[in-house]
Amino acid sequence: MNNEIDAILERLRGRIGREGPPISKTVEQGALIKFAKAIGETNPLYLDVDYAKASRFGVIIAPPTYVSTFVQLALTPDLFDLNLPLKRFLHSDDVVKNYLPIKAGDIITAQARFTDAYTRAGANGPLVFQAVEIALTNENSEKVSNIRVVSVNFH
Amino acid sequence: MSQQASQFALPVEGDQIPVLAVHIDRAAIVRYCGASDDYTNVHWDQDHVKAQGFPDVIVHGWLVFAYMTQAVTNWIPREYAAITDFAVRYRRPVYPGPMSCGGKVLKRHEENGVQRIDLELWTKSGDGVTTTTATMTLEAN
Repeated sequence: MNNEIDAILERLRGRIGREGPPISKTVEQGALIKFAKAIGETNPLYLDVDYAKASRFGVIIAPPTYVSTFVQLALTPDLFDLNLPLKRFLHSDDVVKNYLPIKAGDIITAQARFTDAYTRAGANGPLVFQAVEIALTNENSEKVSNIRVVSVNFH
Repeated sequence: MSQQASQFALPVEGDQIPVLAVHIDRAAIVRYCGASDDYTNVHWDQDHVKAQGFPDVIVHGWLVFAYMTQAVTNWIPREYAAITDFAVRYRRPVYPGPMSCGGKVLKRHEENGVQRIDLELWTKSGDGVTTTTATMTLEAN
């Protein structure tokens, strides 16, 4: 059992530092409104163009969890290893630092990097964790958010 | 429309966040797949999740957390404070059905003249099991 986990960790640690390609997306107002509706938001800052225009943001802004959509874009298949012998794979943690709000019209670039692999004992056997960090920047090269995504595999 | 922070009383340590009750059904999961472009099969493929040993499709962790943030922003609206940091831990899979989201204020402190509010958040499934926990920091505008 320990040999199996050691071998998995060694293989995963070989990925540390591996980067995905930078991927850019223009944040569309309609996509933001659709997202806000899908999460049941009622705040007009996220839904009502006129209200947002009169706010200090001047345009529709993204709800706080919209950063997750860039995770989908930036996570290329060679980052998280989905083919481990511990076949069950789940999302374990998200750790986010926001520097600037995301606004309609922003051009956001997301770049992912594999940063860590580690193991912990679980109640029903070993747990194997993988961490990828995704940096978001805007069209002025300003930091927008940093997102650390951790996955867990188990038997 | 008034968006002045001075008119809003910021919370203090120990204040409870009003609990938000939500029912996430399969239609909500499908809508979220489309809006987030996250079509990972554990969220919609019943045969796949059953083969993996889960009883049902799994609600996106980020959708659960979206409701946790709404428990916060229904209480301190975005106009008054921004979420600067959060850390979410998905402890157990969340399946379609009822859940509730709540939490409390850990601490309010001033940093460089800005009021910061640290929160501890939780989600419980319909049977009372804690599925998701988080910490969050707000910065008053």
